[in-house]
Amino acid sequence: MSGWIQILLDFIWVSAGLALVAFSLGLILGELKIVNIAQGDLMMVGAYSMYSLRELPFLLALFITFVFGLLLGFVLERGVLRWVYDKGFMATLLATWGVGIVLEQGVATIFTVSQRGVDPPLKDLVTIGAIVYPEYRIMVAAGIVVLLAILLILVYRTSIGLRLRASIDNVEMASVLGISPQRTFAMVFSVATALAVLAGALIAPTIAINPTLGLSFLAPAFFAVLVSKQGSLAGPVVGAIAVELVFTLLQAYLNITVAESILFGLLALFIVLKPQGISWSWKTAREKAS
Amino acid sequence: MNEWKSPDSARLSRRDLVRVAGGMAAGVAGLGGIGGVAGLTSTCAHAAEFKGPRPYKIGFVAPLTGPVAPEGTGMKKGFDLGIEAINAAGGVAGHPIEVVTQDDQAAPPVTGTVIKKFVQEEKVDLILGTITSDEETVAANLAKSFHVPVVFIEAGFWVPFCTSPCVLMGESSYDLLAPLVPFMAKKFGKKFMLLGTDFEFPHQYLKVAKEYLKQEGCTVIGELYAPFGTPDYSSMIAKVKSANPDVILSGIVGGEAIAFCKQALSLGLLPKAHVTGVMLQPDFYPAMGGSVDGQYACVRYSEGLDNPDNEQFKTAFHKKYGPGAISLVASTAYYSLRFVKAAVEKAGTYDPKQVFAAFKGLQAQTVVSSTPIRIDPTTLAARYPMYIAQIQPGGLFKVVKDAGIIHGGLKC
Repeated sequence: MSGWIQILLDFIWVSAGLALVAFSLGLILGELKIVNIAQGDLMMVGAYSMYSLRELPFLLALFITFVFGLLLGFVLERGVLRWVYDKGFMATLLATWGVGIVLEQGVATIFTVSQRGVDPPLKDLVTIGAIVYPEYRIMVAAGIVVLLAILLILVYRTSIGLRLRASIDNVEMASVLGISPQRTFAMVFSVATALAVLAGALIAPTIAINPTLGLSFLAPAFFAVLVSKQGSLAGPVVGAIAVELVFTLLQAYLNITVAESILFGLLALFIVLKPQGISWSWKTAREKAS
Repeated sequence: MNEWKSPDSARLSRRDLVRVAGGMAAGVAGLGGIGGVAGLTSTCAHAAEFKGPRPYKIGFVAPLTGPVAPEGTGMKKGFDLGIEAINAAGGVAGHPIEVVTQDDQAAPPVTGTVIKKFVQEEKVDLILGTITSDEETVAANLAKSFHVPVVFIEAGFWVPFCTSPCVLMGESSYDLLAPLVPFMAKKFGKKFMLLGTDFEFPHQYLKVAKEYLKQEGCTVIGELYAPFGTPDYSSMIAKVKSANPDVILSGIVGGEAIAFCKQALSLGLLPKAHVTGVMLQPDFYPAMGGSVDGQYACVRYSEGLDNPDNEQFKTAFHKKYGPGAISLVASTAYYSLRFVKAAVEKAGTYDPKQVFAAFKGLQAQTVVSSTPIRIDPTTLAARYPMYIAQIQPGGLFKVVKDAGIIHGGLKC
């Protein structure tokens, strides 16, 4: 029984982090129609920001990191991406790839490639049944769940969200109705960047910080987005949960290398069979059932 | 077989100490102990006679970017410092050493390209560097084709080094494990859990470990691997906790080691569990957040080694690079150049075959011991005294046992 509690807690922890990254990735893909290869590197920037601000109180460092993420996103969108929107998919893909390389090399130049670490602000262990689990992980997972709930309410229950979804559905029509695409693009990319930076900042105390740390998060986040219906903003969150559920179960019985190979094999097969992804909404499921 | 010397057998005699001190004193002040080399090796007579026709050219290949960049950049620091020291003392064969440096990203195809470039375009006399076994395999094969000597800073005992002109300056897995396994088994118990990063070296390292574990009557209760770039070790840590081993022997390397240790600490596995292996590296300590305080490791070098050469090296290193732990590969790269100098001057020529032959049985003073270190004439591997060290709060690997020079293991 204790083994299953451990597996459940591990699953909640990893899926919370992935859900935040996948949500930000889905936001960019849905609104800007860009595959942001630099998403993992933005997480890396968040981790390094926390390392730089490690002398400050944790929450203050987190807030500064988030604001920095907003500014970074704005600068990248205005300074790089807006010049390549009309040059097609490959141009935007290469542009974000280039941004990622610049971020990696920039960080390596400033901090060197040596491994860095950040201490968690909460070091206690919480006893749950027969097992102990880090308080920090539980608090962060809970915080991400609340944050994602707020973001999804914003998207689906407010006028800002309505304008955003309208722009995702049909940017030309939305612009005719007075929703400025430039402003929406800049806002969406800034927020999505800040969320990726925030995700990196939150996991920083649990990992080794180095300039290439973002790479390991990129593939699962893309799969989480790809298994959901394109343009859906809640989909990547559910996709992240689904991906991590399968991965956690595989890891419980297999070596991580084998588990990872099977997971990515299954996901590739899924995308071949269902290239349009799955709509995870209750409404669609009910309609299909009836 | 696979016996190792008692600590007594590796100790210095008073006469040795006098010779070492004499050699050091004869050295040029501030040159990192280079003078000690001439005082100790049999090459001093050749050094005085041989004047090379031109500067000796070394190609330095290291993973300065990529997954093992921390080790590669650490190695470069030691190498650069070693070059400065050798050149300040007159260089090799009367000329300052000429160096060409290339990053191979620890990617074997890039290593191959770099080695070919070094030989065909740069016309180097010798190649030095590499960290991973994959790089070494490529370099060893090309060294054989091009007849150029290669000095590996880390030893990969499964590469075809016996038929290639390779000199192994790192310790082998046999050196690392022969003293460590009995020490840990005696101190903590015989139930071992084996962990590793999923690539060639950790598999080979743990395969060797199993030989020693069998000799000691120990039980392997689990063997787990995770690929490079694994962000979350929760499942592995849960399995280790569930198995409750007496000792965790880990071949998890690089940044993975830091992630594992940090997560093991936060998940309550460390600091209670007894963890050891190549995972524990001095230069990773600051990022491990004290999670490995009190643990034991087997090393060929520690900043805590008490000898004059090490004191000079540490002073020069920190003066050039500031405070921070000195990596094992940095120390090795530093003194490996003394062997290169001694070999060239002993050979009395830049001819690669003769220089390579000169490495056989060569001795030189290093920072790892007060006695000279010898290159085995058969395996071309440096024979080191190995040390069991305990990690102190703050990161010092304090030597608690001198295990002497390890015999057995490597064979040609």
